[in-house]
Amino acid sequence: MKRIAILAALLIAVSAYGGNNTFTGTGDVAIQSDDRVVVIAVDTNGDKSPDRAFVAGIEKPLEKAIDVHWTHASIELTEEGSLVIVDSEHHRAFVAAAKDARTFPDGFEVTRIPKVIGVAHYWGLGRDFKLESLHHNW
Amino acid sequence: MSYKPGRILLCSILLSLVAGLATADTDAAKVFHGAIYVESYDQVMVIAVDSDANGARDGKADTVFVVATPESFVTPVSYRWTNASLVFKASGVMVTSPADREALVVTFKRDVPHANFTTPAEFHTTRVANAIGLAHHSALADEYFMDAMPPGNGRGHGRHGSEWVDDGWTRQPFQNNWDSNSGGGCMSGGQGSLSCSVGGCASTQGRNDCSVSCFGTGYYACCNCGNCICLRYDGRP
Repeated sequence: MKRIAILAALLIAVSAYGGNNTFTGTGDVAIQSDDRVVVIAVDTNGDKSPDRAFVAGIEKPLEKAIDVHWTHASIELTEEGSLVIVDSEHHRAFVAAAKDARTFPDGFEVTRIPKVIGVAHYWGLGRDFKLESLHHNW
Repeated sequence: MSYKPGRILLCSILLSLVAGLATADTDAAKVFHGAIYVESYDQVMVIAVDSDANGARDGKADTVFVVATPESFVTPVSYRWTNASLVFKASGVMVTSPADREALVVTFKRDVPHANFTTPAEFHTTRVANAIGLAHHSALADEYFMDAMPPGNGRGHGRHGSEWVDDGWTRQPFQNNWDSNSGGGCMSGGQGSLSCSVGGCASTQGRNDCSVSCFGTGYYACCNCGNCICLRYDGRP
């Protein structure tokens, strides 16, 4: 109960804020790796179309490709460029950061992307935005 | 002290409601205070900030914004504000100098109606409402002495020829029109930059606003509309 309360408090506290160099919010996310990039599409308004996207550039392709879709996840991009996505309902998290000492409760399945070069943020995406344009290597 | 999870949760909800109301504006702002100099050069306007943050001012710009416009500035813009505030939002930029009772408001051509930046009625406000791009340069690699900022096509500031300091201003082409960057390069960022961002891209170029932060050793941030990436210094893919 204690962990759930703390986790819920954290999730609620990070909602309802948006910027450009930093971002915190919630939405449906699709995380897909493609060679040396990991593209994260985010639908924050529930219209089934991504309105934001993040791209993590990595030095080497992941040993195991990622292709997941999480609903109602929390997303945080910090000033330092760390990207943390948490699906609290299913106890899983995704972290793309050079240094991120964040810990998660026991039982969380955490995917940490190694050797991240950087994280890009795209916002204000239109319905006609082509996500594949973000899949090119850096 | 007894631990009551329900009470903690309730307090968190109340706190988050307050925080949410305070920050529900998705056009969140970043604010800078310090010396702010502005110069227009043909189709760009450069706003240099020597901020009060991180201790004190050092006479060098630590943040530079570049505003791109589709046409040359009919009325050149040139300001040297020693104590001003800059509000940076996704929808534009506002600079106010209470001591001078002057303000500068930059909004994007794509946004109709324009973003609502309110300045005091008694301030003389310069409005640039046709911006097509806004680059935010932070973590500058070179030294940019505020007093050496090159005069644009506005009123001069008394420096001539050999008086110019050989600093970042002479090496970084902030003054170039953005269409001259179309053959390559970075609208924002470039060698020495660890982060950059570009805004105002969508309407004119069909490309998206973006930002990037780079962590990898040997990489620098490079931002162009619809393409914000980290590039290797050695040029290898």
